[in-house]
Amino acid sequence: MKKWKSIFLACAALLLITGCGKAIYIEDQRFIIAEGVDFDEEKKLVIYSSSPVFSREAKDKFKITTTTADTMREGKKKIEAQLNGSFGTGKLQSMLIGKKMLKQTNVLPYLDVFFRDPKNEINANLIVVDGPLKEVMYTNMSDKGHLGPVIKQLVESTYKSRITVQTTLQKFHQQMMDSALTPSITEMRVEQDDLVISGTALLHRDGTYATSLNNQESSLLLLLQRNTNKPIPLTLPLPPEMFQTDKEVSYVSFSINKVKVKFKSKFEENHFIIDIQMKVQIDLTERMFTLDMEKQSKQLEQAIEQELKKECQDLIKKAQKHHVSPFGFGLYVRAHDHKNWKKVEGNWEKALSEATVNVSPKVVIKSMGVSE
Amino acid sequence: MGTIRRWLNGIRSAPIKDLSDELNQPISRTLNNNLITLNSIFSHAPDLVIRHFQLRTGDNAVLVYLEGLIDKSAINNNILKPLMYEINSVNDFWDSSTTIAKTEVVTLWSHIEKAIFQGQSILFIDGQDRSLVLCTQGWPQRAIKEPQIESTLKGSHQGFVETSGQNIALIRRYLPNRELKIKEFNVGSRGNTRVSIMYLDDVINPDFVKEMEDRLLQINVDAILNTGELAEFIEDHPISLFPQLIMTERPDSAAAHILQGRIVVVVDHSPSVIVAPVTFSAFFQSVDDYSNRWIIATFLRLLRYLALITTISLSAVYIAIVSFHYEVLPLDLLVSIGESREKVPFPPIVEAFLMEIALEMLREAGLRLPGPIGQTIGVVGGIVIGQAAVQAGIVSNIMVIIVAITAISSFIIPDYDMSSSLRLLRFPMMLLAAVFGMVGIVIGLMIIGAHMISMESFGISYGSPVAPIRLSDWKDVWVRLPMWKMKKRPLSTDPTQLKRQGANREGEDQV
Repeated sequence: MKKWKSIFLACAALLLITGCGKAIYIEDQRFIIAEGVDFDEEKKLVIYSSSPVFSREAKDKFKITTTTADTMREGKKKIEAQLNGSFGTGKLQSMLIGKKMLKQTNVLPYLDVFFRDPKNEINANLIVVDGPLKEVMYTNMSDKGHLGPVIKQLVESTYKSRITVQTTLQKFHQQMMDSALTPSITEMRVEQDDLVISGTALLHRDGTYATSLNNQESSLLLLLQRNTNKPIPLTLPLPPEMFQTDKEVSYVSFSINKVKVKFKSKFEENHFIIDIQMKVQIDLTERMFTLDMEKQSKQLEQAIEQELKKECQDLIKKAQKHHVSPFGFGLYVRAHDHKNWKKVEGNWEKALSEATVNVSPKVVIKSMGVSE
Repeated sequence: MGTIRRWLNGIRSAPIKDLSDELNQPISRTLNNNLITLNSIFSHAPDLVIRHFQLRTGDNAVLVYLEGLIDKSAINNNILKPLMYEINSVNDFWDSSTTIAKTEVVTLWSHIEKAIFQGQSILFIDGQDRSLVLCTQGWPQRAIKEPQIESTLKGSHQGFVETSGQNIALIRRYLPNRELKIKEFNVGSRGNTRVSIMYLDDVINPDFVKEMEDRLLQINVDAILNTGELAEFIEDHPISLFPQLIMTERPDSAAAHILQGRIVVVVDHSPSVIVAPVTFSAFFQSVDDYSNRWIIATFLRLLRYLALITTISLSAVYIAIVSFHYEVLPLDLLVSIGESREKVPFPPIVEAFLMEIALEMLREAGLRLPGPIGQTIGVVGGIVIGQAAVQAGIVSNIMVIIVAITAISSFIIPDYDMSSSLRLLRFPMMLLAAVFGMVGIVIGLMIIGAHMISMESFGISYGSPVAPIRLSDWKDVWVRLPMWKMKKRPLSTDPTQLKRQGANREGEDQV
C-alpha cells in the first residue's frame, strides 16, 4: 500500500511540473525566419517579417508581413494579427536593420526583447541594409528560394570567403557592451533585384552608424582582428613601374594562410603608440605579369608588404577619422597595459583616433601554385 | 442447490478422480483380475491396446500399451517374437528373454499407469504377481531442424525439438563432462511434464540450484504445456515488462550459458529451454557474436544498444520535438517537416499511434499467416499502406520513416521476448512525450532504468554488470573482446569457479 501511495504522489507531482507549456504543433506555428526593422518618416518602427508557409494550396512558399509599431514586442502582436498561426521567433536566422534607422539612433534598446525573452533566438545574424528595407524584403525570390534561408546562406558564405564580418545578435550585444570595441556589422544592399553583401558597416560607441567598409577593407578588417582561422584572399594592385609592366595587369592575388602578430603599445605624451608586427604567410593565387620568381620573389614579397602596409594603414586611418575601433586593439591594451588603459578607459575611441598605429607586415610567399 | 452453492463459492471443477485405493494396490496373480483393474483405470481409452498371446511355454500373457506412443517394430520383433517362439522357461524371461534395451520389474499399479502413459509397454503373465515394464517409446517426432526464431549465419543449425531426452542429448554433445548434472522433476498434476535442470556442478553457485529446485517444486498446476508457462511460474517479477529468463531454442547457446555458470531448464514438449539467472545485457548477446571477428561482433553489439534506445524513444522524441521543442531542429529540416505535417489533420501522437499500431498488426498478421501469404502482407503493409497513407494525408512522410526505423531497430535485438517488450514500451513513452515533451521522455527513461536496476533474477541484479558495476564483465557486454582475452567467467552469475581458460597465445602471462 505504501508503495502505491508513493507512486500516486510521484504521478501527481509529475503532472504539475511539465515545464514545457502547451504543445504547439510545427505546422500551426509561423516561424519568423528573417525579420527587418527600420524607421518610417515619423520615427516609428516599421517591422517586416518573413515566414515559411506550410500549405499545399498556397502558391508562395513564404509570406512577408509588414507593420508599424513603437516597439518590437508591440510589433509582434500586430504581426500575429496578420498570421494564420502562432508567432514563433525561436528560429530567427537574420535580423535586418535599415541604415536610416542606424543613422538616427542606437538600435540596442529596440533589440532588448531578444536578449530578455529566452524563447527568442540570439544566434541570428545581424545585417545592416543600405537602402530601403522594403526593397530587400520584397526582392524577387523566384530564382532563389525562401528569403530567410537565402539571406542566412549569403551571409555565411560571404563570411567564409572573408569579404565581410559575421555578427550575431549576441556578438553585437557584446560589442556594444565592451568598452574596447565598437560594433562591425555585415552590410547588404539590393543591386538589380539581387541581394548583395557590400561589405561591413561600422558603428560608433553610441550605436549610431559611422562608416562602411567595402569588401576588400572588410577582409583587411578580419586580418587586423586576427580572425585568421580561414585563409583571407586579397587582391592588391602593385606599382606597374616596379616590375616593368602595364597598369592593367599589375595585380597580384594571394590568400593569407597564417599570421603571427606581435603587438606592442606605448603611452607617451598622452598618446598611444601601437606597433603591430605581422608575419604573414601567403599562397600566391594570381599574378598577371611575368616575373622570374627565382630571382625576384624577394622583390615581390617586398612589394606586397608595402601595399599591404599601405592598405592596412589606410583602413586604420579611416577608423581613426570616424572614431571607431572595430579591430579590438583595445582588448590587447586592456590586457597587457592595464595601467595606461585605465587613463583612457571610457574614451578609448578618442585615444585610438589620436594614437599612432604602425603596421609592419613581413610577407613570406609559401607557395606559388602549380605553374612555373 | 449444492451445485449453486459450489458455484457461488467458486469451486467449479472437481478434483482429479481419486483412484488411489486401486493404484496403491500390487497386481494380482490372476490375469483376469489384472485386466479388470486395468479397465477401471483406463476406461474410455480406445487407444489402449491389450494384446493377448501365449508364451512358448504355454502360459497366457498380455502386453498392454498405448497405441501411438510405442514403436511398433520394437513390439513385434523384440518382444512378441522372442516371447512367442524363443523362450524356454517362464522364470528366466524376467531378465534375458526380450531384446529391449531397458526393462524393469514392477508390482504396483501406480507405476504401471505411469509407465503406460510414458509410452512403455507392460507385460502381464498369468500366475505371476509382478509385471515387466518394457521400454518401447516411439511417439511421433519432428526431425532436428534449424531454429526458427534465433537463426544464425555461422552458428550450428541444430535446434531443440519437442522431446526433452533429445534436447538433453543435444546439450550433452557440447559438454561431455562428468560435472554436467541433470536433475529431473515432474511438474503438473495432469500433464505430468518432465522438467530437467542442467548445470555444471563445479561451476555453478549452489544457491541457484537450490532456489530453482524450490521454485519448481512449488508449482502446483494442471499442466505445463510450454516453456513460457513454466517461466511465468518461476520468474522473479511477474508484473515487469522485461523478460527475466532467456528462452533459447539453440543447444549451442544453452551450452554456452551452462559454461558461464547458469542453469538450463529443459521442459518436455517444448522446443525451447529456459536459462537462469540472466541479466539485461545477456539479451543483447547472440551466438553469432562469437563466430564473427571480434571487432565486427563489437560493432554489432553497439548497434543493438543503439537499437534499444531508438526502439524505445525515437518516435517519442519525434513527437516531443514536433509538439514542443521545434527549436532543436535545423531550419531546413524544420521546413520540410512543417510541409509534410501540414496536410495531416491529426496531432502527432495520434499519427504515431496509427502507424505504430498498424505496424504491430502487420507484424502479427505476417506471423500468423502461412509463409507465402505472410510475405504478401509485408508488401501490402509496407509499400501500399505506407505510401497510400502518406498520399491520402493521414500520416506524414517523416512519421513513416520514424516508424520504419523503430520497427527495424526493434528487430535487430536478438532475443524475441526482449524485442517484444521494448516494442510495447514505445507506447507509454509516446504518451509521455505527447503530454510532457522531452521532460516526459527523460522521466520515462528514468523510470525504466530505475525499474531495471531494482530487479533481481535468482538473487542476481538484473542490471549487472552495469549496475552494480563489474568492470571485468564489460569485456563481453558493450564490446566483445577476443576470446583469448576472456579468461574468466562472468562475475554476474556469481560462479564458484572463475577460471575459464589459461594462457592461449604465445608470450602471454598465466592468469
